[in-house]
Amino acid sequence: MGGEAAVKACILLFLAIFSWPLLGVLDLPATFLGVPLFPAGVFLFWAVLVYALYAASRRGQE
Amino acid sequence: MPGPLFEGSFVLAVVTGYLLLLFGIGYLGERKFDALRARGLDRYVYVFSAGVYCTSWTFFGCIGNAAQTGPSFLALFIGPSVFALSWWTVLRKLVRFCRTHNVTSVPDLLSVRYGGTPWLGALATLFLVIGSVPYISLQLRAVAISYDTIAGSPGGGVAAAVDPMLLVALFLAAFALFFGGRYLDFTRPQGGVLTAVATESVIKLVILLAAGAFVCYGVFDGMGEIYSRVLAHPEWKKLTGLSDPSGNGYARWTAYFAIAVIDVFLLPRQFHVFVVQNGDESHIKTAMWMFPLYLLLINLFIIPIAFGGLLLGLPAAAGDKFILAIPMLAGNRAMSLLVFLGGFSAATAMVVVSSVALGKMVANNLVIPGILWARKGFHGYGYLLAATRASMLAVILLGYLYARLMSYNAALMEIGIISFVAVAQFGPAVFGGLYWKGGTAGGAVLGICAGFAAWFYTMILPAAVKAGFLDPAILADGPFGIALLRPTDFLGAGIGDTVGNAVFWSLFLNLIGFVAGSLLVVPRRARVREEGRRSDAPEIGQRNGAKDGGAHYPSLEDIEAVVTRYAGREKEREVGEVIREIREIKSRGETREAVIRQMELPVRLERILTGSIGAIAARNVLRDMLPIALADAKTLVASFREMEKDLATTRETVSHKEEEILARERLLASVVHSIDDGIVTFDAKGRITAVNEGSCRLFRRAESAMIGGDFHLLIRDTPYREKQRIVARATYRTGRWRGEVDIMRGDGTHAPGLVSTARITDKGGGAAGFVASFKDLTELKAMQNKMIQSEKLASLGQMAAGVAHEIRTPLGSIKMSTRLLGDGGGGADAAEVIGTIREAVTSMEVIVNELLEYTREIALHLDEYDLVKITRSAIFGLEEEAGRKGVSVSVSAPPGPCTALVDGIRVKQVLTNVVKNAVEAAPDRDGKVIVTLSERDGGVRIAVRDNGPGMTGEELGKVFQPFYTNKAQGVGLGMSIVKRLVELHGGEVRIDSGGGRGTTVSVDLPRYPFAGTGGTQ
Repeated sequence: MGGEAAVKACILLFLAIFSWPLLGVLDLPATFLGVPLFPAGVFLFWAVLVYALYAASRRGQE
Repeated sequence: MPGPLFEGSFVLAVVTGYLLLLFGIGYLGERKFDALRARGLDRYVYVFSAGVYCTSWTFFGCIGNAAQTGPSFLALFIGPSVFALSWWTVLRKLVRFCRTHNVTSVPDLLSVRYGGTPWLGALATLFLVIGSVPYISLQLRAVAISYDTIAGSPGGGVAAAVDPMLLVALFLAAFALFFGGRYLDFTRPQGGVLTAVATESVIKLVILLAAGAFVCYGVFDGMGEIYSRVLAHPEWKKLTGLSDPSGNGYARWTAYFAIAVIDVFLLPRQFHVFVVQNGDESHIKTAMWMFPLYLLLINLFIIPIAFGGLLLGLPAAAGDKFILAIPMLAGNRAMSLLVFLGGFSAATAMVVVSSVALGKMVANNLVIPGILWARKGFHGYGYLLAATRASMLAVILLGYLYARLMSYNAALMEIGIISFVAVAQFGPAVFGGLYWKGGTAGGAVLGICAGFAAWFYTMILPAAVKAGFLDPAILADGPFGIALLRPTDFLGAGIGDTVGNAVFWSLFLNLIGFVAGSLLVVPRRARVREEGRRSDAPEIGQRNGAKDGGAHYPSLEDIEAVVTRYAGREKEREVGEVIREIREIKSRGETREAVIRQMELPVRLERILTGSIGAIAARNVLRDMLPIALADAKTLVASFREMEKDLATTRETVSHKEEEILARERLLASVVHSIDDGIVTFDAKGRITAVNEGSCRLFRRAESAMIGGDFHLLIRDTPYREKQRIVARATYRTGRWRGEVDIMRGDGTHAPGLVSTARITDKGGGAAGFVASFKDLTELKAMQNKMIQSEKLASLGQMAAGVAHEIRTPLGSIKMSTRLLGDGGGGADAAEVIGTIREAVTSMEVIVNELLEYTREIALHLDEYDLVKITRSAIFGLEEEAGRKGVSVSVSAPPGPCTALVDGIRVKQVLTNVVKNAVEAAPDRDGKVIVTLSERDGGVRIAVRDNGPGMTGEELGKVFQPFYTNKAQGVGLGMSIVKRLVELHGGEVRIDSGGGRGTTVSVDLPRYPFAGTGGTQ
């Protein structure tokens, strides 16, 4: 992935998942496995992101 | 809050033990860093040392923040995680830039990028120190707070007399000086600092996870219990999302996200470990996933710990101490001590790296340039190293003094965010400088100043009001009662959140300032030129006291000695290599290369020195020492390299083009030489200039015998050279000719051939020569002859039948007449019988003559004729017959002559035949025949129209067949002969007829026979 494309992807990722109003979808009085939806969702997305970064960096190394 | 669990002296002893351990780790790391590198473990040292991002501010402050405003702090850690995808590009670019220029700090980077403006580096250093010292004090305060929390009474002896914060500050200063201030060159790997900081990152992570697990599963019955109880609380449940009690959670979230993306690289400690100390670019790939994972793990229990504190009845305002207070409330001394050490490790790591980075920054951009400017008591390397170490010490002591003097008891998070926003002001200048070539020093200064002004107004003023230094009315009503100027809601933007407001306005104005300044402020180089004209600065050649007007530049040895004096033995080898290289090139007599290398010398030496004493000082040192100004050297070298690159590219392109053209030429030559057809080129005088192998084979002549010979002699001709004239005229006039000729071979034989000629045009469109291709038609002709023979045989029967039919009648008359004569007259008159025989014989003679005419070989005698005259002559011969029949014959022709290269006698024969048929077909008395001549494209059309009854379709199909006639008299060979003669001229006969509308016979003759068509002559 080129530099410009990577920065664009990051901004899109932020806008798609980690910003208002989409983040507001998680900001509801509900729980997931006993954990409020907001922290649960944020950590879940974060974990997925870390895995994606791991996979991307592994692929880059190969 | 719970009471203290330990004696002060005990805690001090533990702290001292921990610091000694840290010292030991640092010492081992310094000595064994190469071994770590050999095993590939430096990759993990790099990633974990970047964990210095998480300080006591994370360890204590984020928990306090979560207890008061919810999870918005997570954006400070998610921001870098989301943008980690771009690190391979952005961070690598930053690393490469810094490595190329030996840059060791953000101010150095700005100085190098924006053309060595000394005050830009100094200004940036000042702002960074202003922004970072409170952050260092925050760490020391965190240590003090946690110490006060865990150790109530100092106990007796030394512990009671010693200020623990000062003790820690002094120890950390010693650590920083020992491991960070060993060398002046900051680009060297600092194994001791990095290993110690990486170890501390692991320690604080493990302890935070352990503390989180303790709170969730030791104090409470898991996260489920904590969250269910918090959700049951009407106020606390708002802390589980961004709709926190203060509102505007999303504005804060976005603001945190933005500053974290920038600060993860630009915080002095982050820049030092992430950029300056990057030993291998591939480590970035590991950091891209491992660092976000580290951030995720360290944040995993922060919210549960914050909520746990609230559930245990601890006040939200004391949230910074929750992580320590909970195990203390639970009476778990070991966990309490562990947590204290975790927070302590987070604080010390930050203080060490920040003091090293900031100290070096201060030394390079403020202290050393100041010393060099004053030049008082300056003795080189030792003093510079001492100045650097003093700067590091000063930074830590400044942080300590700030922590001691500031009575304002702000939350840790608040102080941290103020620093974060301050550092983010360098984002536009740094990243804009890396990615936008148009960025200038003016833009960078304007942007940074605008950003810091906005930061001061929107962040420091509210903090000052909160601390009681200013009237709260400034926040409520705005300065001078102007509501639009309220610092927390500047220009009524309605962002709501204080941090969001500050981040938005500071970065917005910063960006506007950077772009506007870059576009509007006069570039430095132009200004320097202008200033150069006005100043009394000595010209090149007058440097170093060249009083006699001659150039007295220092020798290479002198330069080496001076640079080594500033950079010490650390750079002796590198400087020596550069000088040796030039000397070697000179000794080889490569004058041109030596001049270029000598021009490069200031640039290379500047890079070497920048790593040790910073960009500003390096420039100052080299300025007066070198025969060429640094800026000029840079420009010259860059221009030269660019020119070299362009030349290389041009050479390469030309070489490629040449190869391409040669390849095409080879291909074309190979095609031309390999084909069987003969290709001959000749000039306007008909001299042959080139031939191919096919020509040699076809004409049975050697190439040398053909070159220079007359092209026309390749065509066999009559003594009058008619054919050669045809070919020559058509080729030279119209540019092309195509037709059949007899090829004249070198051995005297000849063969039928097809020749096509064309003009070769030059650039201007003129004739550069001519090319002719010859095709041997011997085989084709043989085949054609066979076919003609078989056609002749086939038509022979038809013709024989026709002849027999035509002859039978006169033969019958002869037979009867001779019988009558044999019978003695039979009463008939003998003379009458003989007359009948004569008529029959005459009739047979006509048949035989026409048959002979039809079958005879025809040779055309071509010349230029006026077809109008020929037409009128043909009509003249038929006027008597037409008049007798009462048919009028008229001619319509263009005013001038209609010339064409034809056989005049044969064309007249054609027209006589056609007009005669028309007169015969026209009705008696009122019959009309109109002959029209018109010029057509490349030829002449003669159309003969009558007003007779016309022909049926069946008749039209047979009209050109031999011995076909629809007349009472006539043999039926006329139209066959017409067709043959016209085709011999390369022309065409068409008949348009229909019942009741007469017949039109059109004869099309080309102006030059066979030009552009095939045919025989």
